[in-house]
Amino acid sequence: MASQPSSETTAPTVVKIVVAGGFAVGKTTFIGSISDIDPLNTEAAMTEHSVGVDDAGGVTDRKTHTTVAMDFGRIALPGSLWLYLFGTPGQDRFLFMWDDLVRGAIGAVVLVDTERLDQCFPAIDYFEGRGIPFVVAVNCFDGVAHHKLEDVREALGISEGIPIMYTDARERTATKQALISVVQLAMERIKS
Amino acid sequence: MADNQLAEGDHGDEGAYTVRPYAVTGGRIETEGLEVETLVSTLDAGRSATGLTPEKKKILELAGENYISIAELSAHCKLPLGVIRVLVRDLSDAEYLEIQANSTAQPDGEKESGGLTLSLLESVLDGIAAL
Repeated sequence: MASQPSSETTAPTVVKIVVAGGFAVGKTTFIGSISDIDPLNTEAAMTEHSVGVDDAGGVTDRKTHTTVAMDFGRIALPGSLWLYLFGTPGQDRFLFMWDDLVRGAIGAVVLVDTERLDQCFPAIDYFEGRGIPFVVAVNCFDGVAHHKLEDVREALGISEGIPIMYTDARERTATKQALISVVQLAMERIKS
Repeated sequence: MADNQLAEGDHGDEGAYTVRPYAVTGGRIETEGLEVETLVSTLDAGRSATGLTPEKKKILELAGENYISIAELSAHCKLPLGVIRVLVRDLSDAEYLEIQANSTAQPDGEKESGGLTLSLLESVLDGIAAL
């Protein structure tokens, strides 16, 4: 008889962190730099739910059928812990879908491209509005920081309590640091 | 279990669906209770189950190897999350598959924030730091 490992061991405890930011800001790269598995892609078929959720301004004749792709990865941690990283669907008209992703999440990393700062506004508004712990990670695409962090903080209008840091989505050590910051922030919130 | 006729067709290529995605669920939708990260595992009865649709067979196969999340099932089966949720619920009702309690639903004496306890977060922090 074949062995049945899954019915004889305890299920891992699952936690998740959401990786948000604008389109093509490096979310998949970020996830891939640290995930045990190659980033996977899932899709949620959207129907008329998308009507009325409109951050783009004025566009109302929404397609009734569209598909939202979402990338994610998984990291096994000691103590039978599985950490999932979920990348949010890029376009802000899919913000309503994020509720599904952030439910029970430790917090979020908002990836920022300083060349396209406005792209991360919906993510920041979203997490601020819902009181979800998040850190801002400025992605240095070429390994060079073009802006001072305090200038970015001011431009984004985020409070002192929100950690902001440089990151390099390709570098495991950098993404690791961003994830650590989110967990630390979540812990501070619980303690306070 | 009344599986929809449309789902019985030969799908040929692994995962690729040739019918409307929600035809395999009999048109039902389900959004409650199953998070994207919820883990499932195949039970003994599921290993010997017969007469299932290719989609359900595939799910039981994948969940028979190791614990697997709704999101991973969706990616591997190339079916939308909502479809996977319905199929997983069906398989669970048939006692072919076990849905694991979500971490956020775990009761714990500690001060909690959405089910995330300080001790759990400490373990996560130590785990990431040790990567």
